[in-house]
Amino acid sequence: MKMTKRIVCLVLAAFLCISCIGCGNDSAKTDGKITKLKMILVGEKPAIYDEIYGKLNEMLRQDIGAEVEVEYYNYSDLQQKYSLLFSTGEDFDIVFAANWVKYNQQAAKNSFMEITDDMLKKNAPKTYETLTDTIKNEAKVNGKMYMVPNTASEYSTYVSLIRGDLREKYGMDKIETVEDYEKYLENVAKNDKNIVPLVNVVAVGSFWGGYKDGTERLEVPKGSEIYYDISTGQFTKKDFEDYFKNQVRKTRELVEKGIIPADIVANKTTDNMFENGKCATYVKNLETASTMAKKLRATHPEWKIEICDFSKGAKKIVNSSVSNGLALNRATKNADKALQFIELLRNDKRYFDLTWYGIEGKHWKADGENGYISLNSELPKEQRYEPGCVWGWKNEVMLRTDKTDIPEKAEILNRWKEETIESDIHGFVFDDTNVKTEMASIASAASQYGGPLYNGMVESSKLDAAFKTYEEKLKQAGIDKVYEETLRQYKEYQKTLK
Amino acid sequence: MKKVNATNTAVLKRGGFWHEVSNNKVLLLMVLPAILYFLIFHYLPMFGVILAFKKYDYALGILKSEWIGLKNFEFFFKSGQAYTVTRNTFLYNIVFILLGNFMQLAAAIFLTEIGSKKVRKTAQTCIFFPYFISWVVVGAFVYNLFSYDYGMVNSILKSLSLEPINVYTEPKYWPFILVILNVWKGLGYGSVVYMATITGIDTSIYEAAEIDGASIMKRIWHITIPSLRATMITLILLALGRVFRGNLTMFYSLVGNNGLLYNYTDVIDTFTFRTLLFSNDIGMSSAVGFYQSVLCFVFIMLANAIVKKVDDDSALF
Amino acid sequence: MKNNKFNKKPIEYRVFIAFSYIFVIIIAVLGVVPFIMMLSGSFTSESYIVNHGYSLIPKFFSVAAYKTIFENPQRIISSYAVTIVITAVGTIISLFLTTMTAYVLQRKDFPWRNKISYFIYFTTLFSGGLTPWYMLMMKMGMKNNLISLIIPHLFSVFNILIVRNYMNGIPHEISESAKVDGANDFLIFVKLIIPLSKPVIATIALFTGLTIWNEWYNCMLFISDQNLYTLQYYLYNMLNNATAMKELVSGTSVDLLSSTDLPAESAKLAMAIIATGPILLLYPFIQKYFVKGIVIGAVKG
Repeated sequence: MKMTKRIVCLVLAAFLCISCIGCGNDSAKTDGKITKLKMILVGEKPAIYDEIYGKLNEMLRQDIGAEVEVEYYNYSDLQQKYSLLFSTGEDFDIVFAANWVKYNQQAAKNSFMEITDDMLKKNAPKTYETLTDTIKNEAKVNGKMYMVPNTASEYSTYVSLIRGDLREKYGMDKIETVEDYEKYLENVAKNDKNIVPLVNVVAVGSFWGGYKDGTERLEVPKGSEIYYDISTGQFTKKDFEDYFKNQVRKTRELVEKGIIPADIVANKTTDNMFENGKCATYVKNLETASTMAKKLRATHPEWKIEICDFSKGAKKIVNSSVSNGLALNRATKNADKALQFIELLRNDKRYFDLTWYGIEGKHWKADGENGYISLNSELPKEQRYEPGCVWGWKNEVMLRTDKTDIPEKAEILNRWKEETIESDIHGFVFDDTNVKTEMASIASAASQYGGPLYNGMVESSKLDAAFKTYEEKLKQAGIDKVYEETLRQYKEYQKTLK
Repeated sequence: MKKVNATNTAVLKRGGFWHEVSNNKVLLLMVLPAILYFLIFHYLPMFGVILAFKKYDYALGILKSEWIGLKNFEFFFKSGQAYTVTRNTFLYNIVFILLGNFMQLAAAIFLTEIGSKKVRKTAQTCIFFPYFISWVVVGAFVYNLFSYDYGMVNSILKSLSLEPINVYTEPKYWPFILVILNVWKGLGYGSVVYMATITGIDTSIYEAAEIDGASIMKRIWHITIPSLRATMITLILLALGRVFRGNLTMFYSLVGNNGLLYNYTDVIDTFTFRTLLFSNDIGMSSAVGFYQSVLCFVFIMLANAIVKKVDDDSALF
Repeated sequence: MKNNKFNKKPIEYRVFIAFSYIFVIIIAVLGVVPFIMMLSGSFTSESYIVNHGYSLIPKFFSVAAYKTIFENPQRIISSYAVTIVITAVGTIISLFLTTMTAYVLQRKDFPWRNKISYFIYFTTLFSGGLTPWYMLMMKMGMKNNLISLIIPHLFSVFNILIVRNYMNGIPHEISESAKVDGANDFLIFVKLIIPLSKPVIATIALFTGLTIWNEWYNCMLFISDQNLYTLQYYLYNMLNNATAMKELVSGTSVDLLSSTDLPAESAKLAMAIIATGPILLLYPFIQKYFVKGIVIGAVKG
């Protein structure tokens, strides 16, 4: 007994000692005239960080009397380290935030400082003007805005690259529809045994599914197996609906035709197969696919890379504005200066060009009003500017178009803009507090019973039984409860919009 | 009788505690760094286990966050997988431990018996190599071996005009694959301890045995193996203390997200990792960690008590 | 000469030795073949690996993977230096502390040996998780401090108990007679016990050295200054940044390609080779201590 007490006392004493060691370091920030801001970004520290941010700080000292220091968090550490930033009360002012680094969850756990309209009007008036109600709504969690979201129309719609040389070899005309595409893949499977036709099962759901139906379906809430149809505005439970069963049947059909490998789930190198000539098609978002096309047209002109868009006529919505943005630390003492700095990054051409493209004349040169030509590839590696995730202050008005991009990109983007519809879905933030257990169980069932279905691993004859099992497992996991909760919260959310 | 004894020692201790301290002051000083180290770096942060019972809010911190009872545990036990993954974790580890130690012991004995120094040294280095091949690379090799369309195994099967096998849709192959790879990877590392212990055996005992005309098998059976017994028990006990913890990197690199195999390959750690990927909930993952800790704790206390009865010296504590 | 001696041995002995050779050669081959595949793969062109898989001999010889990794030689050299320093310092301190603790815990006359053993062992069962540990280390000023990479490896419960077990085998008359001669416990430990424990010290030196050599996790947590990256973390980062980014942003419109041109497959293998090379060169040196009979020689001498 006494021993235990003694130990408890010791532990407590030691703990107090240690917690005091750090007490002194927190505050001494705002001495004199220059405010030191600390910003956390994601990605690799640029090789020429000192040059770029040295220049930036020169301007910053003059403009608002501040300096910024950036700390970079590597992508590979993000899962582990990002939440530590907040849970351990580290000292910083600005942090990159995005839905793909769990902005909503972090905000719900009180990680960030609320950014009010008044704060914006006072410190970042230009930014305030560009934030429409829709955008602000998207950035709100429990009615409060915690980030300055980026303002740019982006799409995550998939496109596909194919090899023109193969197409010609099979005597096929230009590939316009998904039926042509399937023919092309069939031809690859028959004639080129050493090339894998298709390795992206996600393509099936979009190309043969959503896009053909003229719509896109988004998983909302993420990880729930509940899908939102952007054109009808309806929520459906994924596996109880016929079009999803058809998608699985299609995947299996493609597997049986030899178009998708039977063990695709175990292949971890699918990403670099296309550029090495091992795969006949490359399915990615437009940005990535066009960069790949540009690269391969230079290195393998004989492949005659073509880009196909099967989403013609399908309705689209732009990505959520919280796809990228900047947030303030809950405990920052420099909120005003930080917002003034964000204002400059987003709206001052000198700041924007410097951080996005590097030093003019060295890393890029202007081409027309809004264009630029990158000079990066002509420089030795240690002189190049790789900006990291500057997307946090992406602003469509400031963005320059890369004149070396493939011409089809602009064409496709223009078409997409016309096919874009308004939607309030991105502003809907699902609060999972009441259904945490169910969400975890759904994730487990989806992986165990859904995964084999979507990867085309279940034989056609056994599909119906597998559907039934999956449906049952999802029901057991509580998908109905999550579904009801989603509908309820969505309705409530829509009320707040009016 | 026992009671009297107990009170006696208690009385003695009252007067004797400081006496004993001064008697052992050098030894106490020698063990002090360890005590301080574990106190500060392990016991101090250990209060974090309460996260398993809390709804963690960053603004409030660990201590002030709201208590929510066993809510964080619900997802695990309601998933319907709790039994399967716990069983898998336990069984895989038991096989890994027993077969692994057996092979390491055998390797150590054979290695010390062969006469050629060159062969021994080279072989010892060679069996250490797999330790350096990360599970990710092993996973890539395994895929290279078993890929349905291009894998080496199927190429051979096809050339013998046999039916190709799809390892990635057939769970029955996986217990063998996982066990073999685990034993293979740990062989070199694990046998080092046994080698060191054999090295420490008094050679005069061997010489005496040889003079007595004991055969090599008898020598190994009656001298080498008994001398290794304590080491083996320690190693096995240490491993048993982690018997409900699965090797996430290994299982994830080899099996990945392949739902068809889960009933045979899913362990607690892979299950949690996958299930909490979206929510990333610290409370829920702490809850599973706590569950594993409790199971390990109970199991090792039992195992240690049994060993203590049989052989006091080899028990861990 | 040797052969003659061997022939004189009984048949059962010869069969056993033959079997030993076969067994050892099989496990050695099983160990070395994948390693050769790794080595050869690291010298194969990326497109050959993607198209044809790994092989024992590099068919399309290429040093592209190494070229990319060594593109920034300064960083590689500094990360090697950091790793070598923390491995050397950490291993030496850890060896001393571990063996000293183990010695006390195996002394039969030490009244609290079981309690303290339990106190130490218990920490392997329950842990408070990452958050409080991280807070503690940060409060102690471990950010960008190389000590943060050594502290977690100062004591290993596994090693303490292995050494304790080994020391149990040393006849305790040795300690006792020295004690009668008036030596104190620390001197007995340093002068008598350490020399007698060479094989096990070599073993845990190897284990500790390997653990610290492979250190990347704490480096990830506490080190943000690129000049202080350990080798493994530097390589880990190079390899995983691109993959992790692709996974994280895959649902968005971000351009996944612009940042890196790493030949992922061959680079993965090349990095493993770069990281293991020096340890492999050191291994024979450590093996020296596993020679039969060293203990007894020392006692008798």
